[in-house]
Amino acid sequence: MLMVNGLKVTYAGVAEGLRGVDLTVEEGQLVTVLGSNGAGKTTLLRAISNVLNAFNGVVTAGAIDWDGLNLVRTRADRIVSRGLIQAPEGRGIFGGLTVEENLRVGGFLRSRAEQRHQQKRVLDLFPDLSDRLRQHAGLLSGGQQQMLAIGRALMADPKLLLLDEPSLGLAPKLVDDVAAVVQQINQAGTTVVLVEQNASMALSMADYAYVLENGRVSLHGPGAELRDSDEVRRLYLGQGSDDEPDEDTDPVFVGNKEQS
Amino acid sequence: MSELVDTRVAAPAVSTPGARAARRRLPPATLLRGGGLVVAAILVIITPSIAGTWLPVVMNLAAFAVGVVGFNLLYSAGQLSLGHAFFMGLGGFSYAYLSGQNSARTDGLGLDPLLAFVLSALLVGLVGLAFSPLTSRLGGLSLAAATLGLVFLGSHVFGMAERVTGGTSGRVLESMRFGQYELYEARDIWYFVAGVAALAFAFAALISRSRVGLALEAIRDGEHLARGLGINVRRYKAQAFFFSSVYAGVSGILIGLVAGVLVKESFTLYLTMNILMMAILGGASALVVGAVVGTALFIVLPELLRRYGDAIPLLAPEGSVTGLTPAAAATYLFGAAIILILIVEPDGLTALGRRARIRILRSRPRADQSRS
Amino acid sequence: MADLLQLLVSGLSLGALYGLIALGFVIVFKATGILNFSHGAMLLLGAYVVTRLAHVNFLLAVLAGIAAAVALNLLVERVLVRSMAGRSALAITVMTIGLDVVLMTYARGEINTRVLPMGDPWGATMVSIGAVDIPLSRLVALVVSLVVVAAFFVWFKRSSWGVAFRAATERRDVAPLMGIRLNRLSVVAWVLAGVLAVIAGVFLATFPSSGVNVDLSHVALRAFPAAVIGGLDSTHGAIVGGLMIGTAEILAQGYQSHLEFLGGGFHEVLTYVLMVIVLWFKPAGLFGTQEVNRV
Repeated sequence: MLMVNGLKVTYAGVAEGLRGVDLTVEEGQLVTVLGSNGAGKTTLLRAISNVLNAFNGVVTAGAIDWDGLNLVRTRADRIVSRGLIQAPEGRGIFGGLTVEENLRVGGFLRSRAEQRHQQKRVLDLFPDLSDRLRQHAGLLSGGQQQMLAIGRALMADPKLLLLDEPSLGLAPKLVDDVAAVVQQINQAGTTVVLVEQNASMALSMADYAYVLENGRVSLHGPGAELRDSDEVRRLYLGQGSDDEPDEDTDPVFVGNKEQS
Repeated sequence: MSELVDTRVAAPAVSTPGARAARRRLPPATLLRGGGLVVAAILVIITPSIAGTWLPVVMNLAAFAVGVVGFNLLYSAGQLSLGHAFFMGLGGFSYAYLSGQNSARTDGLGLDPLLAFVLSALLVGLVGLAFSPLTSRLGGLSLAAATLGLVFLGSHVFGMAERVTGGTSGRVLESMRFGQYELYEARDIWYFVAGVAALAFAFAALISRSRVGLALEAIRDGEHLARGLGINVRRYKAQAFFFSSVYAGVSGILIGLVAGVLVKESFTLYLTMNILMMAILGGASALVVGAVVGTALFIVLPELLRRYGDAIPLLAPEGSVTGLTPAAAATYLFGAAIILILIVEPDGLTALGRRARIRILRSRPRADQSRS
Repeated sequence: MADLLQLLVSGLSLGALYGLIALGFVIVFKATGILNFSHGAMLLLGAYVVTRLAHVNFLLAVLAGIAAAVALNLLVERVLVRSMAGRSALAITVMTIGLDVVLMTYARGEINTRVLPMGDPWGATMVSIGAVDIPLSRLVALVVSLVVVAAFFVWFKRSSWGVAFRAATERRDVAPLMGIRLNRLSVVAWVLAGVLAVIAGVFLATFPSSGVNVDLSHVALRAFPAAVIGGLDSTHGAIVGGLMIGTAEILAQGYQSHLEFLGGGFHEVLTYVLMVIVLWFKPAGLFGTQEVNRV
């Protein structure tokens, strides 16, 4: 179980990335974190993977606990070796490496035998990749790169998988494919935290959902419940009863926090 | 002019440590600086009477400091040039050739020394400019690579041009002359060297406060950022390289005038390394003060060890083959100091001093100090 | 014709050694973003250790020399480079210049003006291949460097660490998410650089030098342009650059009499001429993918 309590993060000592976030992910769940650009979604994932220092960020308050492991004080590679894996924002493919090498890097901390086993599993999930193992990853299409990014994360046999906006820049048809894959991974027993801007896709399958605004959780609840809430419909699903989304709705969100 | 406005507006937003320090020390510094200039002027005037046997050392100090200021101009903009030895040699030997006479071993044009001085400085600047297609395109580290090449090429060219450089035995330089008055005595040479150095320092201070200085500061903080502010990065880098080479050239001439003779073997990679060490010791971000402090340390300490080395138990006498010679001891100290300074305080000794001053100022409550 | 052939073999042999040294520059640059100006001093000190122990057993001496350089480089990485983490690449580069000053002062104190014989088993033996007579040491140098380079590339292309190394130099931000420790990569790079430097140093001290003297670090510095010509972030560029300048240097030396107008000893600065020319037209080097200017 992943528990985030009162997490605050600042960048370069000044800019506030997170201003006190509470979040819980039960084992086996698929939890989504929604929010617009700059809401702090990626910061949250970086903090969980403990790679903030590379971005000049630092946790100033709060705790992150995963199955008794204090993630704030655990080295990034130890977190990975324990099975908490992140597929980063913008895919982060190694374009100069081949597809197969990308997968190998994903399984860097695993034994050769485990790598072989996982690679077979990944290629079963993404048959497209198996014809392109020796191709440079930079030559893949956007959709294929996203599949590779997820596949690379799977190489480490994750217990908890963090996905940062896998639908970004993909055509609607491909977004559906990604959604199906994410669901499949979750149903096979992996806990998933899905960070998304595409709320309709994320909420359609999430067990539980959080909405981040300005570094705080403004709204949270079971996926289905949030899908039906007026605010989410209006702001994230584009089917509001009011004419158009309004920038100044923050107070309303804070007020709604108790609702769920 | 829009560039000027742009950088001014952007500077507080970026708020680099350097910029913050600059703002912090402004009010008390104007007074300090005025007083400092007066003290410096008096020191320059009385130096020949009080320096005694140290006069040649002090003359060398001034001559080298000019070159170090040139190094700092580039380094404080994030550009590492290792070509200083080449430009210093070029300046020195150009002066030797332009002002010198034809003799059995050497050629010369016999120009008036003052004219030769100006022409040589310009020539070095032009050569610096000629490399600008290279230097303005390359950033920090590849500039270091390219200019490293210049030093070796320079040594080779100096070796080939025996009629200019005098070959392995070197070349005696024509003394500086104003009309009929020849600067032959150490005291006169000192006044000339100190005068030229003072002009060079003043001009460097002007550059660093001008649009060029602001642009270079922005370039150090990130070329992409600077470009985003509308700064013509290549032009300013070329300008910085031009000024830097002129300073190196002038420094080379002054060194020659002090020594009376120039030997091509002086202008190798070691000279570049020495200049670099002087710059880092003092702190390249304090353009002039850093250069003077660093050069003083670098030139005075080995001299102290040489003169009073007998009193230090571990040192072997100068020139001995085994044991720790004063020169080696000084080099150890400087190398270690460079490493330590870069780890502890990248802005050099002057920054340590500045830090101490800020701490003292802070202990007195002042509204504008508490901001930082 | 036989002359030319002989020069070419010598040139390739020297070039392969330059390639090894250049490779050391490149991998440290790729892993840390800095130019390691203490590389030549490290090579000299490693070779110096070899000469001190060569009378016992040459192979053991070489291993000891490698171990010494590796230990020294490890110390440098862990103590000096790491304590400057987060500083600009320029500052760390200048620190290595300070380090070079210290190491060279030590080397000068130890070696002085002496030329210490390498004590290698090849001596002055000549080998005839067809019409070409070649010193055995040059042949061994060529073969050993090619084997070392091949081993490096097998490691670089096939091993997990090699793949991780390439991944991390491409995306420093993503690699830690795969469990790769960037600090470890930096250690690996400095260790490898030390190994490569001493292997090259041992052979450079048999040819073109006839033993270890302090100028050996200057010979090593002549390999620096090889790394720049190939592109500072290109491993195969380092090898190609090394072969290029080695061959050019030996050819220029061999045909010196035709190049008199360029001055005596021109072959010693030829590599710098080539470097400036390449930089003029290709600021990133022949195979470099970026301008050497990391932010």
